[in-house]
Amino acid sequence: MGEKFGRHIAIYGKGGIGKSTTTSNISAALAEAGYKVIQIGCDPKSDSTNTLRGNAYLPTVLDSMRSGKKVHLADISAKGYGGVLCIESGGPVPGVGCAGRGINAAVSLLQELKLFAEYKPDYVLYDVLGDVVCGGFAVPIRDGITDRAYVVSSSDFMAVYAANNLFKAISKYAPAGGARLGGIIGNGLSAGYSKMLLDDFTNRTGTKTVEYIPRSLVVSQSELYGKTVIEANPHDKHADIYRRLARYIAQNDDLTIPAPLSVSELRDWAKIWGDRIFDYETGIVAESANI
Amino acid sequence: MTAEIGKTRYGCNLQGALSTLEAVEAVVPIIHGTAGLGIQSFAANKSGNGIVGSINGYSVPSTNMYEKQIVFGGGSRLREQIKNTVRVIEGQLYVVLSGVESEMISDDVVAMTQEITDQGYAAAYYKAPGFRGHARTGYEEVVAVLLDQIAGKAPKQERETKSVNIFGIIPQQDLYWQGNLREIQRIMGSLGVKTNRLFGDGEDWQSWQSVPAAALNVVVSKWGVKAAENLRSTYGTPYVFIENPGLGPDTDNFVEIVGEQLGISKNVVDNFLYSEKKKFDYVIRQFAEYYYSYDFRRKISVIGEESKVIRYGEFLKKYLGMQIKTAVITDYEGDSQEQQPVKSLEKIISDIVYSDDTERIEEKLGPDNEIIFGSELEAGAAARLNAELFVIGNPQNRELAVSGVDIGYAGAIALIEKISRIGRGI
Ligand SMILES: Nc1ncnc2c1ncn2[C@@H]1O[C@H](COP(=O)(O)OP(=O)(O)OP(=O)(O)O)[C@@H](O)[C@H]1O
Ligand SMILES: [Mg+2]
Repeated sequence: MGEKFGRHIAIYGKGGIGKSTTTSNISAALAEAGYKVIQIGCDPKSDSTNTLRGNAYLPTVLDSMRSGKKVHLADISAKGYGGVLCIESGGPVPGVGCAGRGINAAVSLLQELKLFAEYKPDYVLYDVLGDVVCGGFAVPIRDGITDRAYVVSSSDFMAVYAANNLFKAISKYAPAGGARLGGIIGNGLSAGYSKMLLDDFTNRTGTKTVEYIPRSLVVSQSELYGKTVIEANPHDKHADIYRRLARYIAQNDDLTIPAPLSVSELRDWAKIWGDRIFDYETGIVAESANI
Repeated sequence: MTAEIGKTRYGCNLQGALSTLEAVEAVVPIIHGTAGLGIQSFAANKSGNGIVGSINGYSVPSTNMYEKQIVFGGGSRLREQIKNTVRVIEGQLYVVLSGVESEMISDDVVAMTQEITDQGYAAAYYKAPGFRGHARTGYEEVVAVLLDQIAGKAPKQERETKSVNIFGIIPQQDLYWQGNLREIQRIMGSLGVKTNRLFGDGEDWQSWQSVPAAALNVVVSKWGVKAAENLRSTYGTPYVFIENPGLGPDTDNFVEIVGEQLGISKNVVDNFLYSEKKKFDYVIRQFAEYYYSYDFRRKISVIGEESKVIRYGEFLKKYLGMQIKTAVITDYEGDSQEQQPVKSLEKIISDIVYSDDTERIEEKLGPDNEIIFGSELEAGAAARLNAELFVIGNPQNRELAVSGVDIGYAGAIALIEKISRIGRGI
């Protein structure tokens, strides 16, 4: 890929888990701290950078491909909050074509346009949609495009399941130069046992939880304003959580190749937690008071 | 079990379907796939066989999809191609063949085909991704598509008591498909039976309309069985599957079965076979001189499609006294290790191998082979074994096989003529 400009970080996680919200707040916090940041939404919904841009319209990379005209960076990017350069890969309308190939094509096109060489970012964040259902969605963690990935997860089983799947993809590609795992970003945690469940999962898979973001109305409100928490509620404690997370991600070099659980291990593990959760809720285990 | 295939010998599913459609005049294939898909098939067929049909090679309409259509879906590109095709190429039937890429992204070829059907054109589709099946299933399944087009649409017609359709010979993929169809037609003609060859010169979509009128379907390889089953359940037409339609006198069994099925008088059949046998003997007598001078009782192996191996195996052993060391059957389905050897072959050959992998086949051929009957892909093995290579199947690039034949009495005579060169090492 030639010379590397900036740190490239991929953010994955189950659909609707808070990837775009979290990524945008990290970008905003990094920009606030004075860094040059690019955020690339790798999702046909093309809503990754909405809160950085006040929900303004932005043509996607693949829109330009569809039109067949020569593409200029200026047409497919917009400066958002704090100067974050916002790009959306876009994709086909639901139910036709191949979104996976779309991501591949969009990333290639950005490289052809020499985006990174021209813009010289400090950080590039890729917000990649949902489950890694096929090869296309693993593109950002392959071929040396990013060197690190984080997974957003709640303590819901399906979110952990999706995280485990991503671990599988990472452990497959990392040995051949693909991205390594920075850790799990806990998001939308509200139940008392959430932290413990996530920690237990990261322990078993040889990684760690790098931040715990509680569920909060501030997040919902900021989104309704078309803004990140950093911009809309800079003094809220949630903004500080995102800043702390951004700092961590910016500096952390402790990357691992995770050891995903097998399907049956994951099922057994879930069952144990099923029993424990009930105990927590009925107050038998005192530990929950600490959360 | 998974195994790596060194060199495969057959084309893909789409190639089989395309080769089949090209052999029916007035049927227009439309390829929905990436650029070069049709050309590949063209190049493969060009190497040895004649290129047949008026719509072939560079003239086959194709959507030539590129990345944009993969990402956003190729449906509208296909619609455009179909619309333009019906405008510039006059056909009696249009058949959309969708290849790997369009099937990977599940383009809606059904709806796109329906659009021209709604406009009154006869049109059908066949999903032919190369990763599903191979050239032979391509033939099998696209024939089913064609038959489906006739069902309920062909004009009502009286059954002709003395007429047959031939199935199981794969156009452009089987080396002597044209000659063999013609030889069967000749034999049937001698019995007063009309033959619907369905493929090749003069056979067009009109010929297919009379498929239901035939009194009998004659199947000469396992790849024609499905078509015959289909016609039996749709029209109640009986069929015979003759594993070995024969070379030389082995043809008699085939002719007798068909004759009996059609109620041809035994006298007519016997008289015909008697005259054929006489011609054959006349040739054999001429050959005898060569036979003894150059000693044709050679150790050989036969490699090819099941029907071909049976036909050649029996003939070479019975009439030329050759000793068959190994028979390799290349057109099987499923795991090569789990094939049940063909009963009739077991009687004449002890070593029967199933493989379409050139390297594995080479490993299986023992050092004492003197002649290898196979395809061009066996050239390496023959050279290594210091054996003669006698090409009986595709791929080959030695001759333009237009009238070549390796079935029936004509096939046997042609074979003897050709084989005589072996003795002289030329
Ligand atoms: N910590 C939080 N507290 C409250 N609401 C949150 C929190 N995190 C995310 N949300 C809300 O959850 C919803 C989904 O979040 P977001 O769009 O970021 O998810 P996503 O993972 O990017 O989804 P998709 O897979 O659809 O792209 C949004 O309405 C967002 O405001
Ligand atoms: Mg999102």
